[in-house]
Parts: sequence; C-alpha cells; structure tokens
Amino acid sequence: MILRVDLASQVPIYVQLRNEIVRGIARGEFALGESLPTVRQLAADLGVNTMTVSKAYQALKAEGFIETDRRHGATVCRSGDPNGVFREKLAGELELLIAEAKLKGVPREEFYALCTAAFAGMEG
Amino acid sequence: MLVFVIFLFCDLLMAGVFFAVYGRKPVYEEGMLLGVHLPREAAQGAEVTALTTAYRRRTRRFYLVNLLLGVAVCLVAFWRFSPFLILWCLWLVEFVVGAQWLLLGTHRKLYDLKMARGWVVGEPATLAAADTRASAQRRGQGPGLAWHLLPCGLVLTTLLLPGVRDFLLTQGSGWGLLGSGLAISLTLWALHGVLSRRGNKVYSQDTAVNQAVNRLERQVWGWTLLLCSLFNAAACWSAAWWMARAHWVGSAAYGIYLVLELIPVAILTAGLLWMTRKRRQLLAGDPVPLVVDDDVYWRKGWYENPNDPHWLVQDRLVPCNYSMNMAKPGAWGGTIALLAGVGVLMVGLCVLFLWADFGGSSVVIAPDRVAVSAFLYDTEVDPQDIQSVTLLEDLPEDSYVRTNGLDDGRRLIGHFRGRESGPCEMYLHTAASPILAVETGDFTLYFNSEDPAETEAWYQALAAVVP
Repeated sequence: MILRVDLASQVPIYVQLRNEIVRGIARGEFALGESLPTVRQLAADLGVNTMTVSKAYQALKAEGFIETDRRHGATVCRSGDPNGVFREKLAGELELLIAEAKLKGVPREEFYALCTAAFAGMEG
Repeated sequence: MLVFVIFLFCDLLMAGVFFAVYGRKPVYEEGMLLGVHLPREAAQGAEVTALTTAYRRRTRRFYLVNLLLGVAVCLVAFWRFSPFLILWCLWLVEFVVGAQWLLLGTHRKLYDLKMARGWVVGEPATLAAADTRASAQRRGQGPGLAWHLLPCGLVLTTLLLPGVRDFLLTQGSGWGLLGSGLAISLTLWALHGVLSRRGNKVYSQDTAVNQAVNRLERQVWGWTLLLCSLFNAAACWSAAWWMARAHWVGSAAYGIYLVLELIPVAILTAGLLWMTRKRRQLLAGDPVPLVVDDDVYWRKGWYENPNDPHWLVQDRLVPCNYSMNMAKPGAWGGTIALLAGVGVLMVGLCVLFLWADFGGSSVVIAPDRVAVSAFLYDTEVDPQDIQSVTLLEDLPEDSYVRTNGLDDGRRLIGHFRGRESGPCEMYLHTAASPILAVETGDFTLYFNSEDPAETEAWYQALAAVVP
C-alpha cells in the first residue's frame, strides 16, 4: 500500500500515518497477518523521525489494529470491539459530525449516501 | 610525452562522460523533462520544444569547443609543465562551470515557463509517500555490509607476508600502495553503508514496480561496490607479491596495480549504465506513476528542502547520482569549504610547479660542506663522508624509481632508488651531459648543470675539497 502523509498539514504526522494504515486495512490493502515495515525503515522512507512512526504504531496497537513482537515486527491483526468501547466513541463522534453537517445544510439522505459510498470503498 | 598522454586521456574521458550524461538529447521520462515535471502535452508543445532544441544546439557547440580546447591545452605540456597546468586548471574550471551553467540555466527557464503556464503535475511537494511492501521487503537486497570484511581483510593479510613487512620497513615506498588500497576498501564499505540506509523511493502506485526498481538499485550498488573492493584487494595483493618476491616495486608492478584498479572503474561504470537502462525500462512500462511535483525545491539548480531530513537525495537529472540537501545546516559551509579547498590546491600546485620549472637550483661546494638544492629538495654532504667523485657521460644503467621527488621529463629532482645501486639523490637536467656522481656510504648524489662547463667546474671544486 502507498502511504501518503502531508508534511505541511496541521494534522500531526503520526495521526495521518495512523489514519492511512487504518484506511488501508479497511480497504483490504493490508492482508491479515501482513507485516508492516520496521519503524526505522518506514521513517527513512517517509523522511520523518522514528519517534513519529513509533507513536503511530503504538496508537494502532493500543486500538487493536496491529500487534507487535520482537521476531515479526508489526503485523496486521483482526480487531474487534468486544466491550463496546469503540461503539461509544463512534456514537459520540458521529453526533458531532452530524451536528456539523446539519448546521452546514447537508440533508439526511445525502449524509446516508456519503456513508454508503464510504463503506462501499472498504472491503470486508 | 607521458604527461601529454595522461592528461589527453583524462580530458577526452571527462568531455565524453559529461556529454553522455548532460549533453544527450533531453528525453521526457518519469513525468519530467530536464528535471522539471511537466504534463506530456506541454513537454511536446512548441514552447518547450523550442527551448530544448536551443539547449541541444548550444550544448553540442559547447562540448565540441571544449573538446578541442582540452586537446590544445595538452600540447603545452611538451613545453613546460607549469604553464600547461595553469591552462589546464583554467580549462577545467571553465568546462565544469560552463556545463553546469548551460544545464541549470535551461532547467531554470523551463521551470519559470512551467510556473507561468501553471503546468503543475501530480501530488504536491509537501507529500511524503512510502510503499509498505517495498519497505518491508528484506530479500533480494544485494550483499550485506559484512561482506566488505572480506576485501578489507585481504588487504590487511598482505602484512602477514614477511617479505612485505621487510620491504615496508626498509624502503617505505610500499606504504602508499597498501595504505591507499585499504582506504579505498574502507571508503567503498562506508559508501555501501550510506546507500543501504537510504529510504525506498516510491515511483509508482503499483507496488510491484516500486519493489522492482528499489531492489534493482540496491542490488546493483551493493554488488558493484563489493566487486570493486575485491579487485582493489587483488591490486594490493599484486603489489604485495612484488614486494615479497622481487623486493622491488617498479614499472611492471605499478602497471599491474593500475590495471587491477581500473577494472573497478569499468565495473562501476558498466553497472551504473546497466542499472540506469533497466530502471528506465521498468518505469517506462509503468501505467500508474506516482509523481510528486517537488520542482520548487530544485528551482535554484540544487536541492533545498528544509522539510526533508535527508542529507543526500537522488539527483534530479542523473538518477544514479546523489545531491546534497542544501537546506541542511552546514551544507553550504561544507560545500564552500570543499570548493575553497580544491581552489587552494589548484592554485598551490600551479605555484609549486612554477617554482619547479623556473626556480633554478643551488650548488655550494665548500671545505666543510657540499650542498645541492632545487625546488623542495636539498641534500647536504660532509666532504669527509665522500668516498668518490666521478664525472659520467650518463646515468649508470639501472632501473630507477622515484620515491619522493620530481620527474617532469626535463629534470629529475629529489629521492630515487636504483634497483642495483640503491638509494640516490638526483638534481639532474636529463638532456644535459656530463653528470657528477658523488658516492657516500649511504647514497649516491647525482647532479649537473645545463652548462657542461659549469658541471666541469663543480667537478674540479669537489676534487679540491674531498680528502
């Protein structure tokens, strides 16, 4: 998968990196069990600090999208939401997003269509 | 004659390589023309075509004129070395600066045209991209760095030969050969280390293309650098063989050493040419190139990107070359220091050889000392230590090697060693006769004047002071 980060963006690079990897997993561009590059190699390729990549990997691991071990490095794993923690977070963020959409004049049907299109872009 | 041949070969090689790299017809590849990202339609348009046609015409004229100038300058070597060296240095500076001016001037014009027409292509310059599969690939990356222990070890093992150690201790002239050989192998190792640590570049949205090109570059660099180092070690072993078996490092030894050291040059050149061709083929067939329009960082003719942490980046115009990121702290200082150092060296050498050519020599014959000096060298002998003084028509037949001195075809000055006769100090005009030979216990001193009568007078003076 081609990871893209905008070095001039207001969004921190580790957040962009985390988001790109999550999108990649959702779209099926990363297979289950596929190895991610090492922190050092990915940092060299992107031209960013190793701490930035490390922070992104730690965030992904904490959220259950990847697992790491000394031998295999970082690998994509099947994530779930057994305790409903993510659903709670999703509900909160969706409420804010919907509030902004309503204030900006985006109708419900258009919002549903956008959500459907976004889901269609993801595999599995 | 030798100076003429060597410098003529260098000039032809330089002009040829420069023309092959910078003078070839501009080709639209990887979304760029002359290092500027352009849409294909714009690159084939009338404005750009006119610019590149004019560039090509000026370039051909420039290289032809400089080729002829380079040959003409070499002819001066038949007269005196110092005027030739001054002219050659001026030619070299004019050639290098002129070639860069031509290329970068056109590059800048093309960039300005692109900005005026709004021909922005691909992703923005602030984008950083990585191909995760290319990054994660570990196989097929060429030889590991540890392989360089082999050629470095081979160079060092020459010291295990007793004959080599004896030669180095008694004569000292072999240290340069073995020392430079070890330095070359270590440099190649360090270069391999630097190149292996650089990131993978993303050329395409197709992972297979990125993997193939990055793997190609790592393998070619890795194998060519290792092979170069091995041939360098072989050159050191050939010199060591001469030291150990023949106890002599003469023309034949240096000849074999030179040939073995030229093979790596051929390997590196062939390897990089092959890599460039293969890379071009891989990228030409790519239907989904990933283009990051970072021309803004190259607009001055060099790479200057404060957001890029890398010191070295792939050169825009010659992909197998690397350019320094001039936005890094110390880059300008380092570059200026390097250029200043080269300038000082060139001026210093010109002054030095002017001194050698026109500085003359000094001979003092007194009851308490006999002193001869010329250029950077001087020899002083106590008349009590002189065993014999002879007037010779010519230098005795022997194989002489210069250990620390000057041989410009007209004069021999400094420290030499004869295969049979041993160490000798020479202050000779090679075309003049006779020659004075002063034997001491440790060495033989040979000197003469361009004027035979003066040499005869020195002989008489020596005869008066030598007991």
